[in-house]
Amino acid sequence: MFEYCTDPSSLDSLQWWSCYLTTNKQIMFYQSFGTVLALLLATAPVILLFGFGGALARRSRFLPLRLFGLGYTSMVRGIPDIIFFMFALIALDQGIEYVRHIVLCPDWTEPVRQGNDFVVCAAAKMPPNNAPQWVHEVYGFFLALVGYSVVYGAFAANTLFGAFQAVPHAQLETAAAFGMSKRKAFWRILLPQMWVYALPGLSNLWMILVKATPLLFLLGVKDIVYWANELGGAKTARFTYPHGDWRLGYFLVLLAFYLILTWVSERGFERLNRYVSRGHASRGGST
Amino acid sequence: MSDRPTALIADDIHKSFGQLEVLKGVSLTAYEGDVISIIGSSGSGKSTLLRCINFLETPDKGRIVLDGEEVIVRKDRRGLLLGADLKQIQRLRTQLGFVFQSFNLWSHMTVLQNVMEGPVQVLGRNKAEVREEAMEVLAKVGIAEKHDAYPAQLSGGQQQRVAIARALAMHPKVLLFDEPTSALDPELVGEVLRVMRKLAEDGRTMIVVTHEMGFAREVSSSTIFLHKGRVEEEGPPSRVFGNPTSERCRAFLASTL
Repeated sequence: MFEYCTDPSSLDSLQWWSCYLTTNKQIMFYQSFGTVLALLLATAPVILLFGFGGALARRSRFLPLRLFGLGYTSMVRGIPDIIFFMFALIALDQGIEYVRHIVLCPDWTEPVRQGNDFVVCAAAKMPPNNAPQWVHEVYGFFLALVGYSVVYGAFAANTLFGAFQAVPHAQLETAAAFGMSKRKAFWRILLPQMWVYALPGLSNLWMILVKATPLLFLLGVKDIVYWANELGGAKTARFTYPHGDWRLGYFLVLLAFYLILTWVSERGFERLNRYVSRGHASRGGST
Repeated sequence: MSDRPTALIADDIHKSFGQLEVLKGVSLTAYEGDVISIIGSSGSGKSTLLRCINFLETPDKGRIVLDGEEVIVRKDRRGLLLGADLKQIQRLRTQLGFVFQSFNLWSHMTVLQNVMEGPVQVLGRNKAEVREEAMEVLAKVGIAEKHDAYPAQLSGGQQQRVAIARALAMHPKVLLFDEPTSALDPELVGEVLRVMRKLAEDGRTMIVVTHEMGFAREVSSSTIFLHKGRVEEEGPPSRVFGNPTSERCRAFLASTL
């Protein structure tokens, strides 16, 4: 990074640190914090979307849709997250490759399943073998996004379903008595009022999601846990910046990161709660 | 009979909940400017009748005619009625101002927003115009200074007056009151009754289910005594209260004194 970094072994400690903390790998470590935040910010709306989809499906007057909503929420919530990530995402990954395989390599004769191996033609690989590294990263990120959204969307669906049920029926009946259509009553009355009941559950979900981000690691995305482990490990004299086992320090940084993240989230939810419970005849809404 | 036009006709209304037959053929006619009070012990079907009038409950049998327009219905397999034209019912509901026993103000909206919601969102009227009018209606019920408060910050009497303002803002043909003072502390009943009395003096057509015998006696133009889903006694309040022919009505009035 700095010019004086060409020979680190001769540097005094301040300069040594300034060089050590700005190596390429360190920069990638810093960037992985961004990956975690990006994943959180990208998945949260998708989770809400899945949640609303599931909740509305369960409220539907159309039986198959209701069954689908019920099936989705109860099945996904019943499967341990790790199993879901390992199984469903690998299945999704292989499913995509299989479809591409059929379309792109119609002349292929070998079976796709060979014992434990899943073999598709080179052209069907996702992402393509010759794709640059960032495409692989984005693809892993995409898989993670789908995985988190499906899993946490089921929890969100359950929370939102309960919140919809919790809005007093009298509020909707009054809307009907004023000639409001069901659709209008949904947007004007039900939706604004259900947040009070949904928010505690959704904030829990957000916290759990924040804490589950290290699962990214399972999907081959190089996240902060990967880099902390990699950079913190003891480095022998063969390395440019030799040092002992610093993993404790690195993981303390992660600890601080997650604590700050959850603290900021708590503050945010407090403010949100104050907003959605305005006028609500409870402690939260009292003025 | 009256030479004024009819505002509302409910004809031979029947309604059962499961095995329980709550209304066994109740009819009433309200001419414009009438104030009809419906009295009776709890379980007599008063509230159900009111809810059947604006189709919050669908009557099993009977006819509702509002301002000359009959609610279109069809029959299901058992011969019971179903609302056939939701759009028509929604349109007719905008002409039937409903005031609930438990106020039912929309809790996430301020007083002013509550009053403006119907005219703006349902009738599609101009917001600025509605706001001005809403403030006038709120002034009429004596609560304009609270227009920025949320319902939970108001007393029951204030909430009910806002609910009345909210109903008035729709310019309804008929106002329906479902025991408007029953959920109120005794000292708050008076302020709501005063507002209702003023509306009666303005010539509003009102149908009031109530336990307030004084109000029924002094304000209404006719009184209906319901007993077990039937009209047991009916007529001008002076006669119903002063000289009831029905034994049950006499017993009921004696018990309420």
